[in-house]
Amino acid sequence: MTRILEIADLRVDLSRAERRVSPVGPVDLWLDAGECLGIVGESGSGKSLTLKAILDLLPDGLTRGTGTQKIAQGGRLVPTDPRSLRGAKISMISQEPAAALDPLMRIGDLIGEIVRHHSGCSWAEARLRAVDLLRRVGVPDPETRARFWPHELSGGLKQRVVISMALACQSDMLLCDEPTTALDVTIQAQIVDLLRDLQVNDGLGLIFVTHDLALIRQIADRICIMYAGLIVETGPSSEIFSNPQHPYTRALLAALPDIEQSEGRLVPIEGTPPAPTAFPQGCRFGPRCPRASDVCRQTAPALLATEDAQDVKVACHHTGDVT
Amino acid sequence: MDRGRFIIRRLLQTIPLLAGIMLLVLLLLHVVPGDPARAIGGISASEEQVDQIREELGLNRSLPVQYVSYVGNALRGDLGRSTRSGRTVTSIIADRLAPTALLLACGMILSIALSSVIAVISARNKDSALDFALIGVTVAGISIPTFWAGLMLILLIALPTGLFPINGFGDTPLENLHSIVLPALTFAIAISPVMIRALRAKLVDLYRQDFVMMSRAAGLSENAILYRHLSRHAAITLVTMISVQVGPMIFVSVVSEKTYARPGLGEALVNAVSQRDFPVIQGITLVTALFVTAVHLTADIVISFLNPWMTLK
Repeated sequence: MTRILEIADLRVDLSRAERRVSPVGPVDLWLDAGECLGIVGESGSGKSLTLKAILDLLPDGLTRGTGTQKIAQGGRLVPTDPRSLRGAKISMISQEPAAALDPLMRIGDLIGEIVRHHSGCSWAEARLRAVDLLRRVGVPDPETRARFWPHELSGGLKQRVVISMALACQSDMLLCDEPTTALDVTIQAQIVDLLRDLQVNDGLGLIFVTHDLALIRQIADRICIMYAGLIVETGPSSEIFSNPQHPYTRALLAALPDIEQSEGRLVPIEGTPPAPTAFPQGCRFGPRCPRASDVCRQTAPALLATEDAQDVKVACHHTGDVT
Repeated sequence: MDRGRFIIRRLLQTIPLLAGIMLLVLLLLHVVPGDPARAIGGISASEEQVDQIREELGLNRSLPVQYVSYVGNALRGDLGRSTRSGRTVTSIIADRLAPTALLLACGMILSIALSSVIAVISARNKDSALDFALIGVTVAGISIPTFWAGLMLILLIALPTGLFPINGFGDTPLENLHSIVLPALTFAIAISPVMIRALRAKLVDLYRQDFVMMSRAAGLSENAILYRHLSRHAAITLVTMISVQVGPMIFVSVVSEKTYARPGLGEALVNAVSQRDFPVIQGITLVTALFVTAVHLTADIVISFLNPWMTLK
């Protein structure tokens, strides 16, 4: 597998805080060609901000702190300015397809504009390419639909249009910020199938952010579990789901309903995640962790490879302890 | 098509509106306390003269009859005669129209240009010192009375430099344009601030929208986002603001004409009011009301082209 993206020490800081407050990071990420990396966490864990920081698209009030970002170029990994990657190497789809489309432009023009920006072709050619892209993402009757306004499309079709706009960039990586959250379940499945198809057949690398564990299990090859702005566990999807190491990952999986098992109750995680201004000292999950000890309250655990599975990394002082 | 039907419906709606406007204009004469004919003639007029005025104005007929004949005459372009000069109201309006139309047109263009530039700079540099400075200037603009702004322009620009005439309209098109500079600037100082506030707020809101972030993510430049996407949204706000501000615009143009002694409709109106020249007052009021109606109508039609879902309702 060829590495196409490598990010080290990525941090997101509050722009106007007196002392440094980092809702995210430092975080290390990488992505291989044609791979799907899933980033999972609850609301406020910083998974979406991590994704936006990759393209330096953070909302007002937040700035990308440190973070070196290397991109494959001619077979080598080269440090690159995040803004120069936008659309060129990395494109993005978002959570709310209705808000991601400019309501005052026909969808053919929305796609055509991006095609033109990246290829410099004529408008006529860009329109033809737009229709091709709509067909590629499975929009029925693309010639007619290209003349539609965004408000004339259903949510699922809007998300397909957003994906076709991302494809118009012809980049190697697609950042997916909860792309199915706003859609109903059957449409969710269709969009996931489409993304899967793009990953497998077009070799598109995906970074998929979601809080939906069942969904991530279907699509991701590798998973990062985020809690309070840090990655607490990462490894191949199968490993994480079959043999979770971090207490938070275990708690997450225990909170998941199981269709096979109709007996018993779901186990919630006690407490609430901390705010970025009040991250606890030591392990950030410590106050909610059943296994927390003195060392957890004093020093933050590093993300280290486990003894039994080299490709799984866990940030816990008690890794390997008998449960 | 939807838009065609929307425009036709909107045009039809103006018919009852115009009928109502004409009724109000006619009633102008009757809401004056006391006898309108006596009010026109003044205290020194004899009873016969007052009767004659009443006869001339048709005030001895019933109101519905007066209304029908007023509307009928107005449709034929007959708005009566001035009780002072005896000239037809239509010819007075025709004489006075050019300076006012030019002032409104130039003032509006200047206001739109000024508001767009300042609002974009302000919104792009949100919360910076520059933004706060521009907000300060805008608030000052809202607070300054129009006549005072006009006098200050005369005092600080026209008189020291001698570059601009301070009164009149000029005879050649070039002189007309030269004479319009300061009045149009006065107009813009009065009208732009509210437009700047509205536009800046709109742009700040737009910059927070997902589709702007997604356009950035797709690699589009800030200028491409501004010119191809945000400009359409901003245009809707601008057109709306113009139609909302058309009342203040008329007021400002009257004050501006008076300040710079321009022979326009506003000046004629002020003179007619002080001379109680009712047919002229009615005529100019009617023309003004037509202008307001036309601006609202045009604004709605323009927005229906900019905004694809406006015609849905």
